[in-house]
This record gives sequence, structure tokens and C-alpha cells, in this order.
Amino acid sequence: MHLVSRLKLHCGNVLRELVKNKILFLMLSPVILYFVIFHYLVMPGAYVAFVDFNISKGIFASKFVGLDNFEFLVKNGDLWNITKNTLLYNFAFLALGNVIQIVFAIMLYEISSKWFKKISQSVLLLPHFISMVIVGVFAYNMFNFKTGFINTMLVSLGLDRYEFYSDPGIWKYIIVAFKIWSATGYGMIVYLATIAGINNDLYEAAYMDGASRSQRIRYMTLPMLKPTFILLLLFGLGGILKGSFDLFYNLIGTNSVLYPQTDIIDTYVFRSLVGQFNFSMGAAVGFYQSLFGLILVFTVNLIVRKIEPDSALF
Amino acid sequence: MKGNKMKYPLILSSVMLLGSLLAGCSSSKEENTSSGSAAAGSSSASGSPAASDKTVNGVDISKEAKLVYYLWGSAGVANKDILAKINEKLKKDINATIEVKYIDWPDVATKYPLLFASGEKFDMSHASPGAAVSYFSLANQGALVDITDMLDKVAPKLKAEIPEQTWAGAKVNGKIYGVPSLYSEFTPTGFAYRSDLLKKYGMEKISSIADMEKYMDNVLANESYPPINGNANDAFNMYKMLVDTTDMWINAPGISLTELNLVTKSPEDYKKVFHPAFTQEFEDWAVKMRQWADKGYWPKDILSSQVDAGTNFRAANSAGYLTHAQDWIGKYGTDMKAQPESDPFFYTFAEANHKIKRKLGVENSTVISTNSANPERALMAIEKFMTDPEYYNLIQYGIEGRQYVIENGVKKTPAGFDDKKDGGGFAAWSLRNDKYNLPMDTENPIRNSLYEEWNKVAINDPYMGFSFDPKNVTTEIASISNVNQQLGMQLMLGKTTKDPKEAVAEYRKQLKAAGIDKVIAEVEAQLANFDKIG
Amino acid sequence: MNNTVGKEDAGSLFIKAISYLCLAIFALACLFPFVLMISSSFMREDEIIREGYKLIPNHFSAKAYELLLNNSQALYKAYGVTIFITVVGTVSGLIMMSMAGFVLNRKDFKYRNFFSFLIYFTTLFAGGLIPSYILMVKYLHLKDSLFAMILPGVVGAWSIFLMRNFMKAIPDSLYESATIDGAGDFRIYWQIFMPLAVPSLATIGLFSALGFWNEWYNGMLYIQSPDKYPLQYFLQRMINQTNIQALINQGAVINTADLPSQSIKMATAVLATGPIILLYPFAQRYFVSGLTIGAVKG
Repeated sequence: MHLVSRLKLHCGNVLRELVKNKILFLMLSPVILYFVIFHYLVMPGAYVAFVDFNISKGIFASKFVGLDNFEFLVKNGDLWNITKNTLLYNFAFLALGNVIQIVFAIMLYEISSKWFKKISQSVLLLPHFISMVIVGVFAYNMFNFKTGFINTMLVSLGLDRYEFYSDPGIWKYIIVAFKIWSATGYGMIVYLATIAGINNDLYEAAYMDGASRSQRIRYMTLPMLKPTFILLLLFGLGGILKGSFDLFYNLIGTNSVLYPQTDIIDTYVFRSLVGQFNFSMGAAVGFYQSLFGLILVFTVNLIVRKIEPDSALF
Repeated sequence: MKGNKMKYPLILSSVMLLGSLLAGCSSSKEENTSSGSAAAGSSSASGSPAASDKTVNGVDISKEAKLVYYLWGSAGVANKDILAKINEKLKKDINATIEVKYIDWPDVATKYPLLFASGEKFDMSHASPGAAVSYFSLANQGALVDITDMLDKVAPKLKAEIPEQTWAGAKVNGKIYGVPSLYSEFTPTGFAYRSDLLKKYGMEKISSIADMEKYMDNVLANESYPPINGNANDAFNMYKMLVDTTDMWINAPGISLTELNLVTKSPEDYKKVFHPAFTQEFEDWAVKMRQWADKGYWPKDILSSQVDAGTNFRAANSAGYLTHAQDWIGKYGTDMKAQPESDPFFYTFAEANHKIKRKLGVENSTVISTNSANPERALMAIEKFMTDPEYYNLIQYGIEGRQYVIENGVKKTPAGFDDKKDGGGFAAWSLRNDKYNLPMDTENPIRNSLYEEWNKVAINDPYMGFSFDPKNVTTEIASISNVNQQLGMQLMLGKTTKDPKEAVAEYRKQLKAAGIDKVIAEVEAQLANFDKIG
Repeated sequence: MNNTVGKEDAGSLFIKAISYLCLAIFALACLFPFVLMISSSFMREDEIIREGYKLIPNHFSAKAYELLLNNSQALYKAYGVTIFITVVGTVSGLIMMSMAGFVLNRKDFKYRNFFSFLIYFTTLFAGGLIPSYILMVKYLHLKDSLFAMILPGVVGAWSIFLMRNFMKAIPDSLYESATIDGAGDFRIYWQIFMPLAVPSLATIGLFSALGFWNEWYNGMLYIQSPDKYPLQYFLQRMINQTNIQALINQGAVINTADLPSQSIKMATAVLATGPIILLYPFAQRYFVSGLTIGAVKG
């Protein structure tokens, strides 16, 4: 009885809220409808990670096998290494990437030449359009032993050729560099827009009070960018075990000599399943990545809620 | 008034969302009729003859069937016209028309499995044990129609045309799930090399590994490009070289043949399988591969190379390339066009030990989906394509006079051929039949005589008719796949960081940890109940 | 957009100098591969294979473009398709997302945290390819429809949160004053917030447009008719030939003479990028309007 009346009360509250704010609900509805249809209706399909997928039976009628599909991840003992690699690379991309994007956004804001600003902004965005396949080809052009651009330069300087593609250690720097090169132009747009939203009058007032340019940057621009930075960080954390398959697959590809330092979860799984069609195992990995991201975001969001409640995601 | 104006965007977006769903719905009409459900309706244009009460082989063909046939590749410019001609005949004969849908080459790995897994409605498709989803998996998981009985009733001509042994190869648990091709080809792996360079070095031909090394040493000394300027894929070609040149080793099922797979000692011992990694021959081979890599037979960066040896060969950037025989034969025209002096010869690895296998028809099959609304008609269409020369020529070669002409029994490109208007064709290689196959002027003219020779000495695959069900060892296979693509690949190209013998020891350890023994046991257990055919 | 307030001191000039330098170097690093792509698209096929990509080719050959533009019908159609989905997708997306951003910011909307979480959660868990495919093809009947390329990406959680973030900057005092004046929610949104949110609309709109311009995956999955292919799918087909060799090994009979060559890949890449670069400078001017916020003070 108690439960039913509480339910009724809750429903009543919802209804009242609905009526009171009906315009707001209506305005929100297209977006909610989108997520319900394209995401929530599909989400139960993640169950396929726990079954032995059979084509004619479909996802929900296939045999339940519990955690069997996750076994291949732990069997070779590689799970720790690929998780570690994925985490480290993504942290590097996230932290370093965002910092560099902020720095560039500020730099673009601080310079005075208008045409330089416009041109460099557009040019910086070019790498975003160059597909990773072509990047891989260009990288090979740069680093290969016999005819690579860098080796040719080394030789002309009187130095020895270097076997880039046999040295795992150097690739973490190369990969991070390529990622930064590819993502900065795009990522800094958000920061640019945020800075542009800062009222110029505020800067003027600060100048009147005697603040130098660097002080203005430190005490005004940076704090203004903090909420955006935290938002992007939280989003990035949710996908901390995923992503960047294209980058790694095209730069490293089949060169297994480099794998210990450059193998990430997505490339590992791609390789494992290339000889057999096994949709469930792929989905199992996806589930692992999602779960990890979920726990991480929850934790960090809680921390953010304590420190900077306005910036928390939820 | 102002009030109305403001509501615009709100209504607009809701309508857009709704409208898109409705617009999407209208395209569904096309989807529904394409599989031609019996209820969907009567035949179309007035041109159709009185097919109303006709039956063929006991199948009621009074209602038109629209069949959907998924082929790989893409739609050439002239495909529409060729298909129109095909449909003209098909409508007359069995009151059916075909719509061809394409899965382009780069998308095969994604879209082909999706085709079956998503329950899409279509009728026919290509299938193969080595495809992204294996023919056997499809059959085992109920995605294909069991045509065993249907064949006798509906397509007796087809049943008679294909020999019993070939049908046996397509059987899964005693039932037939697909129509194998009747094209005899041989696909042993080998080394295609430039015969002009051969003559330059004063050699006659390459028929052993020693000859091959001599050729490659000469290339290193005299040419500006490497002997095998390939990519990581060549690791698996090197493995095939090992298997083919060693005793009577034959490929065995269990692990995908695109990796370092299991073998059996000889066709007679087919019930026992093992992995070569644990043999002395393998260790010796790994040492040899390292020597070859150090000598420079292939580039240092081969594991990351972006261009395959064949493409390099054609650009005069490689003295040879590794592939299978039929590919070398088929590429003859292209190779000669690019490098007219090269006239590539082929060193077949398996020839010396007489291990050239006849290709199983099931390797390229045509299957009917269980979602098809007209399985009988689909089968009848397949019968037409494989047993009627007029249909055969249309789907394989195009319209006579426009896409091809026959001169002296050889298929050639006609004089007025304009690639922009007449280019096209269907990748219907699973429907090929020796009887109607036309030799092409782009093929190596040696094909017929070579195949005749090989036909005399070829052996049958002892595993014909056996399909391995990997259900119990999917984890192990995935782990082994990983080991193969790392250390396995490195060993075969001599690129291990450790010394080869140490690396082989490590490889053996990793295979064991990945569960190779369990896989072998599973394969042997399933083989226990299998008896060799023929 | 300029931060030139008053006279410069040494430290300030130093910051500016460093900025110019860093930007110039990075810009060169971004420009160089693109220029390389363009010059390589004019190279001969065998030269590319033998000597790799070069800034100044030994032999100039426009063959790749000749071949591509001969098939120009298909290319123009692809351009048309991509432009259509970009415009429709971006505009409808912006409308939907700006409304969402507005609502999620309203402190008097009790369930905003719930809905925020609802939206965010979708970035963590997904159903996977097969369920999505089944939804799109079987239930929504979007196979071979242009909307299959528009709808899945029309709104995004990331963009919505960004929008919400930008709109946080708009002070609450505006609500109060507008409500006092008797304006309804939608009116506040349309007449007050939207003009102020122009920079964020430009930003999100740019991202959205870029996303639709680069769309190829949904095109690959759902589009069957060649005249509905988006531009980038064209490109991806050309340059993603990695598993061809594997297919040949499995027995597929592919005439590699028909496969696109290295120079064609470059030419296609150049043609596919072109127009969208021009959108960015256009959108840039909308980043400037921070001034309007100040106008509402007090």
C-alpha cells in the first residue's frame, strides 16, 4: 500500500511538472526522442556480449554463456598491457591535447594581425580532413628505412640511417605527435569560441587596474576556460578505453615488432577476431570498455561535484 | 501574429523528425517488393505471356518473383543493360527477375556478415569457407536453405551437372546448403618472377628453393630493387612455402588458412593434425627466413610496407611476387601491359612433392538465404546460370559484341569497346562451369596446358566434405590468432628481435599458452567421425 | 576579437612573438602534408610507387584528375548528396540542440539532471553494430535513404553539453526580467537567447557541418544506389584497399587493374576536402560577438 501510494505521488509530481513546464518539455522532446530511438532502443543489444550469437536465432534467443566471451582477453595475459597502453595514450591525448589546444587558442587570441589569425586558423584545421589512411602512407614515406624523408635527411647530414619501424620505443612519441597534429585545429575551436565569449570590457577594466598581458591570461582567460576544459575532460574519460583505432591501425598496422608499446585494445581485438566471425566477442570487449569508462566518469564526476559543482556533468 | 511565428522552429523540428520517419517508410515499399512475397502481387507489364498456370518442375511460376542477388564488387556502367538482357530471358523461362545488389571490396569484411546477421531479406549470395563468415558457420547457424531435396525436384539438371563428389564437399551434417562452382582451377602458392631477368642471369627456370635463392641473389647484385618488395602479408606466403615444400604436409582445418595453420603429415594420416611450429623443419625455416631478411630479399620495413609486391612488380620495383597460381594466370595481361618484357613465370611450391590439390568446388559457392521468399525460383535461376550457355555468357562475360567477342575460341575485347560506356560485368565467379568457360586473352596462354598437366598429377583434398565447428574453441582460436599475427608473422619474415631459435621457442610457448593443444584435440575429435571421400 | 588593450610592454610583446612563432611552425606542419597531397596527385603512378610522394614531381601528370573527372557525373552527385545532408542535418540539429541546451540550463526545470544523465549515458554504452543495423533497416526502413545518413548524427551528446555549457554564461537575470515582462519560455528562447548564443551556434554548427561532410560510414552501411553515395564514401572506397589482397588469397577474382592507383587516391582526397575549408572562415566571424552580453548588464 505504502509503495503504491508513493508511486502515485511520484507520478503525480511528474505530471504536475510536465504541465507546469510543458513548453520546456516540448522543446526538449525532439532530442529525447532521438536518444530513445537511436540509442536506448538499441542498447539492449549489448546483451549479445553474454551469448553465443547464432544468426538464425538472433541476439536474444541465442544461448547464454555468461562471461565466456571475455575469456580471450585474459587468456594470453595481454589484457594488462593493452589496457595500460590504451589508458596511457588516451590520457596523453586528453591532457596534452587539451592543454595544447588551450595554449594555441590563447595564442591566436593574443596576436593582432587579423589575416594571420584567419589563415592560421583555417590551415590548422586541415589535418582534420586528411584521412588516417593517407596519414599512414605519409608516415611510411617519412620514416621508412630506404627512401624515407627523414633518413634521406640524416644521410645528407652525414649520419646513419635509422630503422624507425623496428624501434618500438620511439613510436609513442611519434603517435602522440601525430594525434596532436591531427586534433589540435579541431579541438581548439571550442576554446576559441569560449574566449570569444568573454567580454572585452572586462579585459579593459583589468588593464586599467594595471594588469599585464600575462596576468590577464592567467587570471581571466584561464579561469574562463576551466568549465569547458572540465567538460571535455569528463567526456574524454568516458571513452578512455576506446577510440583512435584508425590512427593506430594505419600508423602501426601489421608491424608486430612495435606492438608491445603501441598495441591498444581496439587493435588487439581487431586482430584476434580477424580469422573468425564472432560478433559476441567483439561486443564483450565493447562492454568492458564501456563499463570501465562508466566507473571512471562516475568517480571523477563525484570529485568535480565537490570542487566545482557547476561543472559537474550530472 | 508574433505568437505564431515563434512556434515555427519547434514545429519544424518535430515535423522534420516525423517526416523523415515517413519518408523512410516510403522507401520500404521498394524493400518489401524486392523479395517478391507471393502476396505482393501479380506480374508487371503487359508483355508477359500467358504464364498464369504454368509450372516448371512442379514449381508454380504463375506469380512473378523478384530475386535479390548480392554480389561483391561494384556496379559497372553497363551492368544495367546486361542485367536487362538476363531478366528478359529469366522472365520468359521462370517468370522471375533479378536485382543485383553489391558489396564493394573494401566493405566486404563489415557488410557481408551483417547481411546474414541482420536478417536482411535477400535471395542469393556468394559464400565460401574462407569468407568473412565461413560458409560452414552460415550453414550451422541456420542462415542458409537446405537444398538437398529441392535439387532433385526443382533443379535436376543442376544436380546432374555437378559430380557427386563435388556435392559431397558442400555437405554439412549430410545436407547440402550451397551450390559449389564447377570451375577447375588450381591455386597452389608460388613465386611469380621475371623471365627476362632469368635469362639475363643465364638461368633456365626456378623449380626449387635453391634456384629461387640463386635468382634472388642475382637480383640483389644486379638490380636496384629487391627480389620480393612486398608487405606483411607475405609472411603467410612464406609459411605456405614452408608447408608446400616439406614432405607431404597438407593444410588441415582448425585454424584459419590465412594464418599459420595446422597441418597433417600426409593425405593418408589426415585424422591426425599438428602445428608445424613444434617441428625441426619449422625451426630451420625460421633461421632461413632470418638469413633471407638479413640478405635483403625483402625491405627492412616490410612489416609496415604499404604496397604489395604485385603492385611493385608492375611498377618495375620488385623482381617477383608471391601469390597463388590462378591469380598469376589472371594477372598476366595486366603484368604484361605494365612491363612488356617481364613475361612472369611461376615457381609452384607444391609441385615438386606432387602436392597440388584440386580446388574444392565449395570454395566458391552460391547460397540461398533462409529469408528468401522464393527459394525454389532462386535455385532455378542458379541452374540456368550454370547449365545454359546463353545465361552463362551473359552473367560471366556480358553482351556478345559489346563487352566481348570470340575469336578462335578465345574471348577478346571488341574493337569498338569504350570503357566509359561498355565497362562492367558481374563478379559471379562462384557460378563458373568448366564446360562453358571461355579462355581469355588476358590470361596466361599457358593456362590450359598447365592445368591439363596438373590435372594428371593433382591430388584430392583429404578434408573435402569436412567442416570444422569451432564452437568450443573460439577463445583459443582468437588467442592463437593474436600469437600468429605477432610472433608468427615476425618469424616468417625474419624480423624477430630475438635470435630465430630463441624466438621459435618463445612462439611454441605462446601457442601452448593460447591453447593450441585444445584446438588440436577438438579437431581430431571431430575428425574421428569423418571418413575421407574419394 | 582582439585583445589589444592599451600599450604594450616587453612581456606582452614577448608573448605575442612566441605566439606568432609557434603558430607559424605548427601551421607549416599542417600545411605541408596537404601540399604534398596536392603535388602527389599530379604524379605518375610508377613514380609514386618507386620513389614515394614528392613535393616536386619529376614528371607532371594530370591523369588521375582526368580519370576522376571523366566519371564526373558520379562525383557531382556525391557532392550534391553530401551538401544536402550537411545542410539539412546541421540546421535541424542546431534547432533541436539549442532548444535542449536552453532547457537543460533552466534551474526551474526539475528533471534537468535526470535528462542530462540520460543523454550522457548514451556515450558510454551502445548496442553495437548489428542491433543498430537491424533498427535502421528493419524497423525504421531507412535502407538506401538519405536520411540514414542524416538522422543517426543529427544531434550528439557532446554537442548538447557544449551548448549547455555555452549557455551557462548567459546570466539568470535575463530570465527574471523577461518573465516579469510576461514572455513565455519559447519566446525567451527565440528572442533573447538565440541572438546571444550566436557564437555557440556557430561553433556547434561548424562541428555538425564538419561531421556531416566527413560522413561515410553510414553511407557504406545503408546506401545501395550509387547516386546516393556521399562524397567521403567515394573517397574511402578509393583509398581503403587494405583487405583486397586478403580477398584475393581467399579466392576472390578481382581485376586489380580496375583498382584505383596511388595517384587517384591523392586526387580524390584533394577533391573531397576542398569546399568545406571555406566554411570555416565563414563561421569564424560569428565567434566575435561577445560584446552583446555586456549590453545586458544592470
